[in-house]
Amino acid sequence: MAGLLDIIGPVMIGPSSSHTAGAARIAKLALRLLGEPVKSAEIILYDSFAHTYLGHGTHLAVLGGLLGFAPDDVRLRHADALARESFSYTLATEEGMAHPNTVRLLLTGSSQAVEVVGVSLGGGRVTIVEIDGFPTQIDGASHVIIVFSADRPGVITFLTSLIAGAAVNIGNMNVSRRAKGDSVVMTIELDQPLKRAVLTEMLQGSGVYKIVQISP
Amino acid sequence: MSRSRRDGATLSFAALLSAAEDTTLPEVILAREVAKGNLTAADIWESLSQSLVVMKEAVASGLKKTELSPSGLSGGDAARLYRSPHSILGEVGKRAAAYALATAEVNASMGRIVAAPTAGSSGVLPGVLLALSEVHLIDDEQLVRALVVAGGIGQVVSARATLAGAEGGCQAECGAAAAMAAGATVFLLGGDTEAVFHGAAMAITNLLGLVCDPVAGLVEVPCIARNAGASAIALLSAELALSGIRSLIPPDEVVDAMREVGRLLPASLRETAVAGLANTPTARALEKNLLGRQ
Repeated sequence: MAGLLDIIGPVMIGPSSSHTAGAARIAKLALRLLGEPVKSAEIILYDSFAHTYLGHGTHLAVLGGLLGFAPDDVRLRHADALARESFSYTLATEEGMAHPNTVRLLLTGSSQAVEVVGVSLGGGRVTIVEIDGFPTQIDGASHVIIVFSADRPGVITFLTSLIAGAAVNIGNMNVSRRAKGDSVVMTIELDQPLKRAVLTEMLQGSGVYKIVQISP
Repeated sequence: MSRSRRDGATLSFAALLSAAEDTTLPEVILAREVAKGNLTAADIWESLSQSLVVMKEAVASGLKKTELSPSGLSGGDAARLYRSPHSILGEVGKRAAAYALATAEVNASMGRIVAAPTAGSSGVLPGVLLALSEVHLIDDEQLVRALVVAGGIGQVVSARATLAGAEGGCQAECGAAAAMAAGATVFLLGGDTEAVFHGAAMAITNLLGLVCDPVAGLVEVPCIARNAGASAIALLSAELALSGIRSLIPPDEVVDAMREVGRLLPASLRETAVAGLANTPTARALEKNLLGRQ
């Protein structure tokens, strides 16, 4: 059932919880997945996002999210000018995604790059449905770590034993790969966040390329 | 109509009414929320107090606004009404409408608002509450209690029907907001819990079937004007309830009817911008012009 603060709230920048607040949340999650400030961004808006972005400020919300602004940050309105001070970007519109409110973000930082596809589900709720071509289901509403790793035996055991050692419970786990023996993106939902030391230890594991922790 | 969602656990006005017999309605609603285990009463109070601050800021900035929204479809109407020498609705009604317009215009131009229950209907509750607080000298603590009452009413509508225009049309957004504001008004002016819920029910009754037909798919026309309309209906419904008038159909059944009407509305009138005002020649020309600017 909807919480009292879902009814009287959230505080947000208008005009639309799906086309503005949701778009900012997707971009902010994508920034976390990149793990460093954006140097250049390719933004592709699909379908309803593509048709109505000017009036809903969807493009400004995305740019603000890429700067790390929350959906209630008054700077979203000026995000175009602020983004231009920090990074270069292109904006394109396309058609034909499964969900009408979809955005694809190709982000490059000084040492990393990531491609993220997010959908805005309404009411400000979002899901990251794809990272670097791997299907995912990340909604940013629970503690989660995203692990980029090699697709070989032992990696999962290594990670889960470290999580068990930290006395943290795993609520859900998803392993996504494009082909056998390629690389994988793992999404591990946790009851509590992991301490930095545990994340550092994980990164030292053989075949673990990158770890991002996201908390609500 | 499916009964599956209508089991004993579904939140109802009837359950809240009987729970409020030995205590106050805000306490019943707060206790239910605290029992979920995620938030303390102090957390909720703090968050609602913060929302009240945002509501006041949005109204103040919206009344000063004279520039148009980014789309150019709206802007300046709150200031226009606020400055108008006429006052057909009286002081509370006129201020409520102006404040509702102000908030909805701030929302349309990427300002900060409280979605209550949604961004598209965010003007109604602050419009009504802040107008009342000025004319009837109601303090912030009492306004936060009124937000709790409004939130509880919204929870019932959310549980039994929907708050999304895409699912239930504008009756689900501005209709729900009007119900919340009407109930909160009855509470603030001393009506009992039964009167609170009947005020909410009469507001929904007066907005039942309202379609969602946004011009160019944007949250501006007719949404902004409908926020003003819903605030007037909310005040009227509260006035009726406080006079002792009751809805013949019990409040829970009124919400159930709203759910049924929402399901029967064609998709073309549920936020798709296919029919209604969105499909008028003027709307289509404005839409074409906007797409060209992108």
